[in-house]
Amino acid sequence: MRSATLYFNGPLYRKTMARFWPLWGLWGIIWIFLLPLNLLNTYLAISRDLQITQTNPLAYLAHAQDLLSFLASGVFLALPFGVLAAMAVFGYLYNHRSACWFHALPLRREALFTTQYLAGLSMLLLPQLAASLLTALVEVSFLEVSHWPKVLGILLLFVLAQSGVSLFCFSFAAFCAMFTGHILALPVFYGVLNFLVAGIWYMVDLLLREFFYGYAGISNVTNVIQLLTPGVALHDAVRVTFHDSTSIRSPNTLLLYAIAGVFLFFAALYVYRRRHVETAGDVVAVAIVRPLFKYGVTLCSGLAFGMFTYAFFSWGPASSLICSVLFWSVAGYFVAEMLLKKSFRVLNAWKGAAVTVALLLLFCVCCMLDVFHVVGRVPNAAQVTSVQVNLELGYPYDNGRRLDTTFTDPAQIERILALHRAVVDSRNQKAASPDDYTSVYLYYTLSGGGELNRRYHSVPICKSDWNTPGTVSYALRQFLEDRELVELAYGFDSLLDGARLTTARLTTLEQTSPYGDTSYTSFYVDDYAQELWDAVRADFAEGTIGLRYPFYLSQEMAENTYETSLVFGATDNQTAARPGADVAAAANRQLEIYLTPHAKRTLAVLDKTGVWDAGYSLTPWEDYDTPSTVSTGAEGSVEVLP
Amino acid sequence: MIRIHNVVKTFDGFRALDGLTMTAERGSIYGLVGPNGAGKSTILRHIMGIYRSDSGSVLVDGEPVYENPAVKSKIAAIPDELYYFNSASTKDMMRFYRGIYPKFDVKRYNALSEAFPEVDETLPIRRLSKGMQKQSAFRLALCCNPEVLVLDEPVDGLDPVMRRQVWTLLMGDVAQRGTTVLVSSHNLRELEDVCDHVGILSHGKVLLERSLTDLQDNVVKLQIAFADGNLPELPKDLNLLHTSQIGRVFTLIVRGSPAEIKTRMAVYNPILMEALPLTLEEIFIYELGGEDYAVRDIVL
Repeated sequence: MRSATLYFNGPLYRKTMARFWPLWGLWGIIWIFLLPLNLLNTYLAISRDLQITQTNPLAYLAHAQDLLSFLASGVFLALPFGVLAAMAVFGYLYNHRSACWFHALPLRREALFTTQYLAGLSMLLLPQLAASLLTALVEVSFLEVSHWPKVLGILLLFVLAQSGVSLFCFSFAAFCAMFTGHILALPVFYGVLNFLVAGIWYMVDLLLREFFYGYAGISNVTNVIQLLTPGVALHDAVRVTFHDSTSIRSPNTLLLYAIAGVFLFFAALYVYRRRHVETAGDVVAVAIVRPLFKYGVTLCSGLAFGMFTYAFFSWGPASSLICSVLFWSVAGYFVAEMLLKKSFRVLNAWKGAAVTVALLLLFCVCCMLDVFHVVGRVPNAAQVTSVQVNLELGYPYDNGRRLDTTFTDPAQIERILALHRAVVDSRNQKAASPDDYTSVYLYYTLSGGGELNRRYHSVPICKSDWNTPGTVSYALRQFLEDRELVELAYGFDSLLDGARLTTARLTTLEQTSPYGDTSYTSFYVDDYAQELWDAVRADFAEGTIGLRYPFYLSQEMAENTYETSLVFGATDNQTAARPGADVAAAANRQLEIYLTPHAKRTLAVLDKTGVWDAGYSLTPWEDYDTPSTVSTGAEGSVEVLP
Repeated sequence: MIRIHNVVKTFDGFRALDGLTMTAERGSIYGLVGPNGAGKSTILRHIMGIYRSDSGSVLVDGEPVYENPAVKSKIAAIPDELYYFNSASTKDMMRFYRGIYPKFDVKRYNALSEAFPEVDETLPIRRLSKGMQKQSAFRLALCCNPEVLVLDEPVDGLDPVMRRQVWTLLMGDVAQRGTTVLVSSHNLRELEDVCDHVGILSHGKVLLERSLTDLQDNVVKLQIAFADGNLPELPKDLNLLHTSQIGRVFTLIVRGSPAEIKTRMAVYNPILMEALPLTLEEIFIYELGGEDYAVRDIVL
C-alpha cells in the first residue's frame, strides 16, 4: 500500500515542490546569475579582447579558478534561504487547520517530516546543482581539454562546499521549526540561535568586566565560540586560500557543519515525533523547552538591554548596573510569559519573577563582593611559570611607552606580582584624585597549565606614593628605573633583529618664517642613520636619553625632553633582498625616541646633518607651561633657558 | 468498529476529555451532540488520528488510529474548518488524494459531478463560496471510499436541497458499503432524522450513549392535569427531570418507560394524562439540565 511507505511520500513531495516553485526558482535564478551567466559574460568579454589584443588565454583558467570566492556569497545567501525553505515546507505546523489536515493524512509522522524535509532540501540543492552543471558546460566550452580536470575539480569542491552549507542552514532551520508553532517565531529563533553563543558570551564577558576589576575574559575559548556561531564559522571556513592550489580555508569546519546538519535532521525528526499538533500557534511548541525559553529570554533581556541602558546613561557604580540588569530581566520574564501564554495578563506569574530577581540579585551581589575570588586573585610566585606583561611606562609617547615582554625570571615575576598585588589593593582607592594613570595587562601561565589573564585600565598613580612600598606608584617606579627593561621597551635589539637600518627622520622640528610664523615639520637624515643610531645607543647607555617620566605634566620631564623625536626605520632582510627593492622606501619597522638636551652624542651627530642650517630647531615641550624656552645654537648645541 | 476507552486529553491544564468512553458500530450513523466545549471536536480529532491522547485508547477495527497509516487510510474526514493547499482546485486536490488514499475512486469522482453540479472543479477552492467548499469537501471525501467518515458540523453552510443531497449520499454509503459515519452537529433536528445512535457529551465525558429509539423510549413527556388544579406530591423515586405548568396542565419530563410511568401516575386520578415522545433536542436539553447546563430565565 502506497500510504504505508514509512519514510517518504512521493505525491506529497511533488506537491510541496510544485507549491513552492517561486522559492526554489528564485534561488536557482540567483545561482545561475552568480555562476554560469557571470562566467559566460566574463569569457565573452575575454574573447572579444583576445580578438583585438591577444590577451593571455590563461585568463579563462584564472576566472574558473576564482569560482570558490562565491562561497562567501553562498553562505550569506544560504542563511536566509535555509529558513525561508523551512518556513515553506513546515509552515503547515503553524496553522491549526493545516496542521490538523496534514496529520489526518494516512502518513506516519516520519514520512510526513522526511518528505517535507527532503522537499525543502531539494529546493536548495537542486537549483545549485543545476547552476553548477551549466557552469561546467560554460567551462568546457571555453577552456582547453587539458584544463578540464583542474576547473571541474574546483567546481566539484564548490558544489560540495555549498551543499554542505545549504544542508546545515536548512537542517538548522528545520530543527528550529520543530520547537515553535508560530511562523514568525521561526526566523526569530533561527536568527537568534545562529548568533546566540557569541552574543551571550560577549554580553556575559562585558558584564563580568564591569563587575570584576581587571577581568580580561577567557581567551582560549574564542575558537569554540566562533565554531558555535554558524554564520561566523561558515563565513570564515569558506575563505579562499592560494597556496599550492586554490582551496578553501577550512574544509574540516564545513565537513563538521555538514555532519551537524545530518545530526540536526535526526534531532528535528525526534522532536517532531513528540510534538503535539494542538501547539499550532504557540510561540514555543515543545513543553520541555518552555522554561528554557522563559529563562533564556529573561537572561538575554537582562544582559542585552541591561548593559545597553547602563552604557547609554553612562551610569558609574556597579549597583546601577545591577538595577538595570534586574529591571530588564523582570521585563524579559514577563514578555516571555506573555508570549508563552498568548496573553497580556501575566502579572499572576510574579512569584517566578520574584525568584528570578532574587537569584540574579544574589549572583550580582556575590560578584560585587568578589565571593568567587576573581578580583582579589593574585597567584603565588611558585605557581607562575611565565608572565606576559604589557605595562605602560609613563612618558613621553615614543617606543618606550609600553613594555611588552614575557618574563620567566623568578625575580622579574616577583616584581610583576608585587605590581599586581598593589593594583588589586588599590582598587578601592579609585575615587581618590590621582596625579596620573597607568595600565597593566598580565597573562600568566601557571604551573598546572592553566592561565590567568588580567587587564587593568586607568590604574591611578600618585606622586605622594612614589616612595611608599606596596603602592602602584612605587611598584611602577621599579620598572621605570630599570634601564634594562626600558631598553627592552624601546626594542633597540628587536628593531635590527633580521633587519637593517635604512632611515632616520626627525619629527616635529620647529621652523619660524621671516614673518614670525611657526611651523612644524619632519626632516630626513638617512645618510646619518647609522651614526645617529650608535650615538643614541651610547647616550641611552649613559642614561641621557630614553628617560621615562610617570607623570605627564612633570617639570622634570619638560625640562629634560624635546617634542622633537628621532624615528629610525629598518627594513627586514627578506624585503631588502628582493631584486630591485628600494630598501629605504620599503622600511617596515620603526623605533621612535624623543630627544633630550643631555643626549650630547646624538645632538652632536645632528649638528653634522645640517638640519639647523636649513632653519630648523628642536621643539621644546609645550604642554608644560613654565616660563622656559629651549633654543638651538648655530652649531646645533642646545641650552635650556630659564 | 470504533472503540474509545477512557480517553483523557489535557490542553495546558484544561481537561478537554475526561475519561471519555464510547462505541460506534460498523454501518451506523453516530451522532455526537453536546454543549459548546464538551469535547466533540477533540474526540473527533482523536478518531482522525490527529491528536495523541494523554491516556486511554482510540481503536478502529481493533487497531489504534494514532500513527497508523493503514487505519487512517480507511478514514475520511470533513472538519468544521476546511483546509486545502493554497490555490488548489478540487481537481488538484483529487489528484493529490488519488496518490495518498489507496482506495480513491476516480470514477466515483467523475460520477459525483452530477451530485454537485454547481461546483467548478477547476476553480481554486478558496475562491468558492462556503457552501461550495463544503460540497467540494464531500465530493473528495466520498471518493476516498472510506470505511469511517468523520464529519464535524458537516452541513453547516449548505442550502436545504444540498443538505438533503448530502444526507442521501451518506445514507446510501452506509447502506451499500457499510460505512460508519460519525457526525457532530448542533442541528439536532437534522441528526434525529439520520442518526441511529446518539452520544451526548458534557465536560469531556459521554453522559449517555444509546440508539435513538432507546433514548426516546427512556424519557417521556407527560402532560397531566388534576381536578383540584394542583400537582400532588410525587414519589421520591420518580426520576423527574423537569416540571412546567400552563394553566391547569402540568408538563412532566420523567426518565423511565412511558407505560410504567403512566401506571404510577394513574393512582393520583388525573383528569387528563397524555404521554408524548421527546424530540432529540428536548432530550438534549433535559439531560444536560441535570448537568447544570440549562436555559436560564434571565431578565435583562
